[in-house]
Amino acid sequence: MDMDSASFLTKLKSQNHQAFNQLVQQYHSSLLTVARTIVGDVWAEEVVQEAWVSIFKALPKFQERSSLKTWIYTILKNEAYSRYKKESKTVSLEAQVPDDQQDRTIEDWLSSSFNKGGGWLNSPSGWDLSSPEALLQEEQLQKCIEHTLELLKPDQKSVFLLRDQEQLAMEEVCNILDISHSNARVLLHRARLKLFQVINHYQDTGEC
Amino acid sequence: MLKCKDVVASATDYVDKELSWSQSMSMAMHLLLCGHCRRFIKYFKLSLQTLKNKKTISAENASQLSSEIITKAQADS
Ligand SMILES: [Zn+2]
Repeated sequence: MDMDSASFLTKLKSQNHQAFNQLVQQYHSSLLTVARTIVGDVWAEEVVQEAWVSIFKALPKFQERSSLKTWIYTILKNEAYSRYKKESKTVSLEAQVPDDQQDRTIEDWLSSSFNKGGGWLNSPSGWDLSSPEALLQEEQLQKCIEHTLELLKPDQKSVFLLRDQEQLAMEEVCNILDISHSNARVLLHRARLKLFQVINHYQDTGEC
Repeated sequence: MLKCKDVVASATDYVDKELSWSQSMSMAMHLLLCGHCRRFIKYFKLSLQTLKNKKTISAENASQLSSEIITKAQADS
């Protein structure tokens, strides 16, 4: 069933169990991903559970002022941030946040890729894996990509995944994460470059 | 004249179609003349495709999870 259709929404708003089940199946993994970037692995499952409970209760009040997707992510985000605030008083979640090493690798890559005039020194050579299917089937590469994602800073990872994995519009991403458009674009661009760089490196060397 | 480095710097705006008209024109001109950057843009776009395989949970897990959630929600109210 089309999750954006009016009849689906009507069912959902009347807390139809089957429709809700479909919603859970569709969004659970994504919500978990976003929750992990905010509260870390330890609390993510619980935060998403709590968010689902809030979502279920609030369904009859859903006004359709935003898309269903945005509404769901916003509830999750609020749940995650309030948990984050509560837990960061007791344990240091900061320790889980990686430093800006990723930014440095990108800087290094940029400065070694271009000459003083701004032309390519090492332009990307032809890729052996040059279709989306080929890239997705390469298990080792998928591991490299996962590893890269793990090293991104939480806000950057959230922007990246919401935009390029969940395919949300930039405006929605900014609304959900409560960050400015220009800030989001910088974070997104760096994350995308990082992804490109990892894949490019893998194509050259067969390693992460 | 746009430099290759600028093409890389604007790649996100380019693929998301957020460049101004004049920026798009310079970009198009550069890409017409520069095979290196054409290849870069092609692979840059291709990289993003690797994130699109969305994982979903199994139907079985979903139904177990959603009944737990519903039970909890109803117990709360
Ligand atoms: Zn060029």
